[in-house]
Amino acid sequence: MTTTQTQVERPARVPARDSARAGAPSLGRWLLTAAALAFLGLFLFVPLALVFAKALEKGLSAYAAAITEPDALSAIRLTLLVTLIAVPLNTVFGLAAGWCIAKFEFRGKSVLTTLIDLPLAVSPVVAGLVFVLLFGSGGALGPWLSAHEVNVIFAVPGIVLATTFVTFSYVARELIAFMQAQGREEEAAAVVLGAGGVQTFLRITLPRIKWGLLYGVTLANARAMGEFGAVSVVSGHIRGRTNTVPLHVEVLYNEYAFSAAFAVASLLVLVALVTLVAKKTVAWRARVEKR
Amino acid sequence: MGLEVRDLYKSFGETPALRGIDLHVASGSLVALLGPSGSGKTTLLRVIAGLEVPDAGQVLIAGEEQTRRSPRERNIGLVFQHYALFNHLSVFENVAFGLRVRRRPKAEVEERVRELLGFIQLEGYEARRPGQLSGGQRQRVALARALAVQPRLLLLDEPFGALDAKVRQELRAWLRRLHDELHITSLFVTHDQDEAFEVADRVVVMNNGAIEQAGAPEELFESPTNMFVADFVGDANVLQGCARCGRAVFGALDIPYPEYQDEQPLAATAYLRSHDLELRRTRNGGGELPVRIVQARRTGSTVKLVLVALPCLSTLHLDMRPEEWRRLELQPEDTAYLAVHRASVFTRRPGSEEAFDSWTSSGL
Repeated sequence: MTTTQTQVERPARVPARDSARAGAPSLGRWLLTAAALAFLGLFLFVPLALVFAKALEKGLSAYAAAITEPDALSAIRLTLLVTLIAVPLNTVFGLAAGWCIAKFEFRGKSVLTTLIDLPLAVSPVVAGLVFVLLFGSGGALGPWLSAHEVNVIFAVPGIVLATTFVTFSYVARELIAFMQAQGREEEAAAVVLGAGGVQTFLRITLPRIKWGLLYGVTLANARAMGEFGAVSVVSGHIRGRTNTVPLHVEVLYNEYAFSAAFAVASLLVLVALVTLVAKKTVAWRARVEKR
Repeated sequence: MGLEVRDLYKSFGETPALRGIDLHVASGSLVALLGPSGSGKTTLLRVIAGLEVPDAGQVLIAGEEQTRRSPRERNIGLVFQHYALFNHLSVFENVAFGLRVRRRPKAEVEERVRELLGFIQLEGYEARRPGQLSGGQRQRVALARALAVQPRLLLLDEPFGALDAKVRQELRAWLRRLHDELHITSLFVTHDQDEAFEVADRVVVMNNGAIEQAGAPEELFESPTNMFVADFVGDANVLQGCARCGRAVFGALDIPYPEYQDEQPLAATAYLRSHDLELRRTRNGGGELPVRIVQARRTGSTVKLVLVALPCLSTLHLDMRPEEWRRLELQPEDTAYLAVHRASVFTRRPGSEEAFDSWTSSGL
């Protein structure tokens, strides 16, 4: 029914060029758009709105109290610290990996590319367990570490390691795609013109990839702040000491302190919103510069 | 400063790209590397620039060994097919790049860039981004950028390949004028023979990683030394026939071929260029090839004829001036006679794969 109707209708209503771009017949297009919007609303917008509604249900002062309480502040500090270590580490790694994969041919390149994707494929809980097996008291390096009084598991270093692991791929993946699309010609031109390796990187490569880099860093940052599974396994949930923001939210929730839990959770939602805006801006800036 | 390439080999994995290249570019000359895509000409250029490391062989500039030097030490100007301009930098900074990385004083950079922008007729475009320029303008900026550091050698990789026909024509003439002014030793890669013949002092024809023939444009055109060059350079008509007893016979066309005196017939190929052929209404000497006119099409300032040789039915193409064509008062389906003033004949010796004997016969 619908097909016959739209086939008759399409040539008359839409100019040929437009219909080729729009593709789907108009009724189907409306249905698809409506379905997508309904789905988005139900699964994304409503839950996010509920987080804020729940967080603010006892008023602004309760909200402020929940996020300025000492344990919450300690969790925020820890999350920021971990992010400040994990994200720069992975930025440096991502730049190095992106550079060598996109600009050079070498043996084992495909193995490296696959390994970079590994942290995305492994469940965060498994990632956490790996570190427990490696650094925990019963683990491979456990006895040596405890002999030297170094605490990794149930301490900050473990959280940093787990966070670095789960955010490992973001910058590298983003940059590899970006750099491969750009090719090597401009770098070759710079080298022939007499630029050295560092000059080529600073003057040509970095300015060209900066938007891709920024996007990758933004994603890595969001993941580092929001990571739950891997961190949960290695942190030991010591209140005020090894609880990050997501872990603190869980603790509060399990203690039936719902509005406090949602108040702290709303901070993570804000991070997500900032990330989305940043992503949009970066994409827009990159498009503007391309012109 | 002259360029010399000695016995250069390069392969990518299993695929050979260069197979023993020997090349000499005289100081101050403009040489074209002409060949079909995949013939290794761009690889050769990149090896000379130092962007690829050869498996064997040497590159010398002004007699100095360059093979082990990095690209930045060679002081070569390279112009890329797709410009490879720095899109995040202004036109000014693009041209200034080579001077900046050499840490030249600001005043000198300023002066040199202004001078070059004047030279490429892009004054007033300093602040623009490459993305805001036309293709022809971009290629001129790329050229100015390469020239800014006063390179010893200028390499151009299909410099006009990405431009439309009219801009291409203008830039060709401009490149030739520029070379006549600067006298910088230049080597440029092209797959377009008109471009090569129009611009270059010498043309090097490459095929399959090797040099087939090098010489002045007319030399390649008039006396190709092998079938590839005869076929690739100029639009040639090809006839298949055989040679024996000092003659080569292609259907009704019988031409002397003193290279081969045996009685045993040998497969032969003749290449006939349009401008060595003359169409006549009647037989005039007896040596003409009878043809049937299939089609006559006027394109611009020439009439393009399609003929069929009788009786062997090979198709021949012939360009004529319109007034000549009109004077003949012929039309499609008519029979006429084709006088062959000159032909290049190649034979393949039995048992040999590559070697051809060639003979160019003129004044037939």
